[in-house]
Amino acid sequence: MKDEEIIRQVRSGKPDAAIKVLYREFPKVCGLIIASGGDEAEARATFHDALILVMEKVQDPTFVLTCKLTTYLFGVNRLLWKNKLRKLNSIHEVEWSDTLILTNDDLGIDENQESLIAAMELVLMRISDRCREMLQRFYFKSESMAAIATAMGFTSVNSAKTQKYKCMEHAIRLASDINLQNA
Amino acid sequence: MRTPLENIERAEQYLNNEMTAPERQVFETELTTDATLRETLAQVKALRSAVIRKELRSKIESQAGGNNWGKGLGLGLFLLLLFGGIAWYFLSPTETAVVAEEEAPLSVTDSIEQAQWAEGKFELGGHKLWAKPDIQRFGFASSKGATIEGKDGILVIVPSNAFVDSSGKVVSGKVEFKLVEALGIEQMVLYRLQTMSNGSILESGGMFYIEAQVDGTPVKINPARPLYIEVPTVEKKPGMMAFTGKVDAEGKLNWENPRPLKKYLVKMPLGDLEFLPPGFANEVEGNMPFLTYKKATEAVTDSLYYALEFASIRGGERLDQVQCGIDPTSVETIKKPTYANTFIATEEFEQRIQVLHKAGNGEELLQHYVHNLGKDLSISDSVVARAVQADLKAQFQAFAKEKLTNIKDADIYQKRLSDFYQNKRKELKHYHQAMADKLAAMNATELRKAQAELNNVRMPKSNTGPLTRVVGPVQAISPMITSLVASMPSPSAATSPVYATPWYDMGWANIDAYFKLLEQGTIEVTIAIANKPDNTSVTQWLGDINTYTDLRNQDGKYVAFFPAKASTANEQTHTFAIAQTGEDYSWSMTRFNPRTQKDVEMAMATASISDIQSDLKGVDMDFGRLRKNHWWKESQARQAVANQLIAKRVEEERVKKQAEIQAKYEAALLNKKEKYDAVVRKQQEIQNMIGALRAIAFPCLESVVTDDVAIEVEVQVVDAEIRDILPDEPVGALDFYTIVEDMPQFPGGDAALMKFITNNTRYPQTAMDNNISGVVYVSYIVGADGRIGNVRVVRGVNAELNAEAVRVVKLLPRCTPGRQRGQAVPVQFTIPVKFRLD
Repeated sequence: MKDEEIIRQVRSGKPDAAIKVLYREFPKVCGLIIASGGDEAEARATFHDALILVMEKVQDPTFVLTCKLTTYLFGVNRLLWKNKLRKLNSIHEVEWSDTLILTNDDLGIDENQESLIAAMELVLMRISDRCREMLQRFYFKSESMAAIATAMGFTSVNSAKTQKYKCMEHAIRLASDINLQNA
Repeated sequence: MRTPLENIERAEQYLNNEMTAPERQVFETELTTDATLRETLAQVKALRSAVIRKELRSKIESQAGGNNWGKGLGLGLFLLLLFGGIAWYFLSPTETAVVAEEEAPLSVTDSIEQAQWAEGKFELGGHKLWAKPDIQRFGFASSKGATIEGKDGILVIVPSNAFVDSSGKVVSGKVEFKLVEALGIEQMVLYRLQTMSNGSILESGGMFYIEAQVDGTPVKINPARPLYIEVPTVEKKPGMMAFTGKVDAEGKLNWENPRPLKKYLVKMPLGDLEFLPPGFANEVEGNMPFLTYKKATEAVTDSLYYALEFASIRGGERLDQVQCGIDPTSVETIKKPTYANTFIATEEFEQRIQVLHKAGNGEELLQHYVHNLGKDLSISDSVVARAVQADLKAQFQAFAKEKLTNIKDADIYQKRLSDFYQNKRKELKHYHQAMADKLAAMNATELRKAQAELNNVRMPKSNTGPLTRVVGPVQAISPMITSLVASMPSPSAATSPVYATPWYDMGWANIDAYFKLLEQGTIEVTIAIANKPDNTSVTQWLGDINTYTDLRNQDGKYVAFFPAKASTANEQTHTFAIAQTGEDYSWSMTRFNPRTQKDVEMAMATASISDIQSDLKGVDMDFGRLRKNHWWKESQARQAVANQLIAKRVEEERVKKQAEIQAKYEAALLNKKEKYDAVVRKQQEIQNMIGALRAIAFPCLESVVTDDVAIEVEVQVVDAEIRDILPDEPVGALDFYTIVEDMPQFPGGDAALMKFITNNTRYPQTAMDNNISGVVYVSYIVGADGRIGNVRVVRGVNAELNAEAVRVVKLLPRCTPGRQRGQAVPVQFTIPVKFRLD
């Protein structure tokens, strides 16, 4: 599958095939990460995070790919692994030859926002199924509020919207609690 | 001010492009000024990303589970790396054809190792393991040495030129150092690290494995320049030694060649050390501003301390001979650079001086240390332990047991140790600051919450008993935070204990003591295991006493022995059963209390290595893993303190609120009294008038009869008016008076009351010894029945004198109750109880 095809599919909300293709790069990334101080579990976690970031980037309509998508994926992996090592104060170096050099700024990674997103991801397991379904339909599947109201049996679009805001408020409050505990 | 929900709604509309252009503009302008709105926008954005990521992640994870790239291709990759490694080895380093080889070339032995691991055969240092060891790799130049800190907190100081080849010649080149930490039960079980030494059971304080290669060739440790290793622990136990691990004929790891531990002193810059009495700096800070100083800088605090005159520390008339603690001048002296290369300049000495401040003869004891700088610190510790007052003896005996030597002994490690601990200390200091800031923020939040709650609470109208009077002003927030921070452990690495030793051998190592408790008698527990493969290994772990031993099969059952003498460790007893066939495991784990359970049954089942790991992670253990997570224990303590702080704030707010109500009441009462007096005056006038008139109108009548009925009506009217003034306040709550028409009478009058107090007061002995005197003001209520109740200290001196004063007042006999308009009513009194030393 060509890069353009992958990008087109991701943008149209069908990431499954793209994930399958890109996942084939995992063994190589895993080898590189093990060689620079990690183990397989860490490699897998890093690879997943990188894959998510790549998907997010690709979904951004302003994103322009200037190299092969796999090269880009390797670059993101290298950056994330480097960030992780820096947090652990490890003395390992991440000099992967022929790998695209990216920085946090290139990818728009903001550490504070990242930890907030991580907290939110945890919170999503703690909110009600109905709330989760609603948020998932709206943000991930990009369904309209009207469609959601019908599908989920709300009496009106407005009451669905109000319910969504309440769900968001609940999630945000839970996340602040987590942040307070971890800060 | 908008509600959070409204902010979320607007942020969402903004991000969904649902706003009109002017709305957007307003929103964007508000963003620049409204921090809450900015925060909400960031949170909404994060939530949106999180929903999308969560979905992607679950898709990705199902992909990861759905194929076997990890296993199948993993081996291929290892082989690729293996060839790459060999290629690198023989070619010049610039001709690197394979990625990743440039930085960390795998040696031949490593590659073989990894290839074996891929098949499920795990081995380290000739010892067979159940699972792949977690190897941490470090690269450095052997001519420079290194400071290595493991994930779980083991510290390895490698001096320069610390490695020799098999002929004993120092080798130089690029070192690849491998460290495996085994500080938890998870590692002990998975790495098969039983604590046996030639048949004796050991109690472990932590194990590890080290190995090094220089330019790919295995090397030994230079006996003239050994490594120095520190293993973190929660609490130092006596009798610990360093053992080396050797694999015996049965393939079991046996711990041999015990050597005593030796902890070196670490030099710190004198300026970083805190020699002032505990809490002094906080007290200064709490009293700022002072004269022209606004902030309690170190210089201000120091000079205030040094300016204190030693002899007059305690003040008073007869105290000039009494000394306590240390002469500030001495502290100033030992902070001078002359002492920078002595044991004075260590965190360990800092610990000692903090205790000496509390000693009566602290100055004398400090001088003893200062005059013996050339000797080992432990020698002075034991001298001081004999000379110090009883309550501090144990502390110095513990110091002496640390067997600390002199700073000059650690020469080849000193620079690295010093740098390491200075960094640690800085880290801890930052952590303290962050914690203090966080507490302050928490405090503010809680305060707002408490305030909101209090505003919503309406005092109940009656039956609440007398209102609490406010004693003293409500404490300000900042000094409380300061004292809270002061109650945290000092940012000293010396307070987080380690087992330390110079180290001479590659391979497995164990910090251990011989386990003696079994010699005092044993109890036994029989363990039956179902579904057990032939090659099963059954092991027993005793929690806090960290022993881990094999159990032997006797007639199909296993028998475990436990010390007959009860110990907390027995509550934490686990049996593990594990067997491996190829890449599959059979596994079972159980926890029991040998004092209550004599027969244990367990059943093994197929499990993956990650199942086993997660089971083991669930085992509670209070052991190791400290240096990097110094705060795991303290954070709990801190949370408790923070909760107390919050409770205190809420209580203070409650008391303050009550005081406000009371003040309002007293004002209202005064008002009521004035009105009442006015009525009484009016009544008097009427009476006088009627009397005068009657005397003239009815000259035959001797006495005057007043028209009570009319006046009573008027009084009731006034009372009703007063009730209207205070519709929301708990009228019934104020059920005592302070002034009434007929005050209560002590039998025999006030003089007899004071005499009763004087005769019954006993001066508490310790207060007398410590020369504490003063007046305790005690309030009490004489009830409508004449009994004494609600005895409370209004202004006290110290706990003992307060308690004594309260005791005496409670002894007071029944009085004649006070009366208001003919009715017996409770009345509050306050009396002084004096304690005077002659």
